[in-house]
Amino acid sequence: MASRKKVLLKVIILGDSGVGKTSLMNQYVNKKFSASYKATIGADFLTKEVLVDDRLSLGVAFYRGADCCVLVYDVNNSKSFEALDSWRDEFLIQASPRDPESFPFVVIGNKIDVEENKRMISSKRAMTFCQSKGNLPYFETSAKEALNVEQAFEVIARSALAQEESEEYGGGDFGDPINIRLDSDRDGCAC
Amino acid sequence: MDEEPSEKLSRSKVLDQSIYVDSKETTEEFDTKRRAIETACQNRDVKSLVEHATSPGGLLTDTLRQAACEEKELDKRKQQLSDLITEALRRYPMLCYFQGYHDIAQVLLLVLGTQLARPAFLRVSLLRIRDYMLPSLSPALKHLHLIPAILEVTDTRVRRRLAGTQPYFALAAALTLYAHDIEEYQDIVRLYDFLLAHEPVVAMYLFAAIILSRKDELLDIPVDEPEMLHFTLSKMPQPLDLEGLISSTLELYQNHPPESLPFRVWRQLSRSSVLKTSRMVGEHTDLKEAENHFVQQTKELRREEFRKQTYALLWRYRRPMGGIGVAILIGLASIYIRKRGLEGPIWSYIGRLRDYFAH
Repeated sequence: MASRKKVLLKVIILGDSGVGKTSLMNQYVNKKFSASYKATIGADFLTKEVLVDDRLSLGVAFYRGADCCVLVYDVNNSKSFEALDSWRDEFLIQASPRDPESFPFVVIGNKIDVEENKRMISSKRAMTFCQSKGNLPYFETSAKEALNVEQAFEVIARSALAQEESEEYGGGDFGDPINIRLDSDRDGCAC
Repeated sequence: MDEEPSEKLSRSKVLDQSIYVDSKETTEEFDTKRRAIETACQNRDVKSLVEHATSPGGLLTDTLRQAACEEKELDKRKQQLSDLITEALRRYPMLCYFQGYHDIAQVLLLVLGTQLARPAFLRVSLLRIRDYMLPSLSPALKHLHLIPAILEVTDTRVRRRLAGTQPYFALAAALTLYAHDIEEYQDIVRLYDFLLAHEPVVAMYLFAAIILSRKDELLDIPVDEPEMLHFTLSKMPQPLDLEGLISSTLELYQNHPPESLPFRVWRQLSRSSVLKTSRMVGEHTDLKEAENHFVQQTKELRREEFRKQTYALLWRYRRPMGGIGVAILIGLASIYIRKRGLEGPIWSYIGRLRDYFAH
């Protein structure tokens, strides 16, 4: 039997106002959806114990020490889709992960329960975006109807766990790693 | 939560259904239509409500008719809220909207009605929450740092327990004068009586009083779970003993006035901060003067932002430049922008500097 170690995973959910970040979190953690909207001010925080490959782990909020970042947009709102890039940049600046290139992001297009004719962003367009950003996993969900939410968070938890492990064995918090790659010679002096 | 209305519904259903049955429809169809109307109400789908109202049986029961009317009423209120906010932001375009501004507008609208709410909302915006409408959140965060300082002089143990987390748990309460988190109408209007009768900084003392009232609950949270502290403190305690909190707030405020607080928290606030310029409640205050303070603080913020950016940039390239040189350059840059303002060639200069080091 695999080891049962409790790991705290931190997942940050970002996106424009009203795209459904709180609803996704509530649907995943509490299996509930509320039709009334109340804007979140600042940060909200929920935890959930989940079993990933026989290992207990937890999820959610605050920039620093994050293991995975989820970018959410509303498929019926093109502005929220166009903002994804700036949310990603914001995260990379604020959280300054050790290796921005390999840091796991997951993209979620929410509110797919709304009528088809209101949809502004096609799956194809979203997937092209995700591909261009380094093959980010992409999910289309409905927090309202609990569509795909569980599946999306499973991938999120797995990516977070993998990230946590790579940090753990990658030297952790011991300052700048010593670069021993041969091709890095010219980086030694920028002047 | 939905228990009550559905119970009412089933009671009135017996009567209405008999009428409906007269119109030669079956119970099943009645139920289907009832559910459809309920969904339309929930989704605020006016178009299908009109269809249901027209098709046989209409809106079926008085309960459903009420629900449909409430939706319309709600739409009207939303429009009033939106008008109030739009008017304020058009009148003072320099004010930045923030998430939660509408929570305050909503309280004023409900208590004062559309006409009286307009001047009151402008005054609250400029003389109470002005710092929260600046282009950056940092002045608001400086307000929040008063909270640990108040705790430090009242209960060091609690202050130390909170040291692992920033006081951002009080952000929503501060920005909205508690309207975002206190949902009971009677509670929030009672609290507004108190808050609006005192200087703005009292709202921070109130938050400290709330924390102190939950001391035991907070000390029970494991030390290594600062997020849990944030989560707990960002919600109001239930039940909410407002009268008790109000009197302990006043006591804190009188015993430890803002100037006496440690960590230099009061000194660190801008002289143009609303906490310093709106201290005399009831005194004649000019909105024009408040506007000037706002402009002044915006300038200060830009300077601060610039200093930070320059510092971060130079820090990144510290090795090629040498430490002392960096410090001197930052100092010179600060003096320069203080004298000349931020508009002008300095930006392009910094841009060039960045390009230079990046290559």
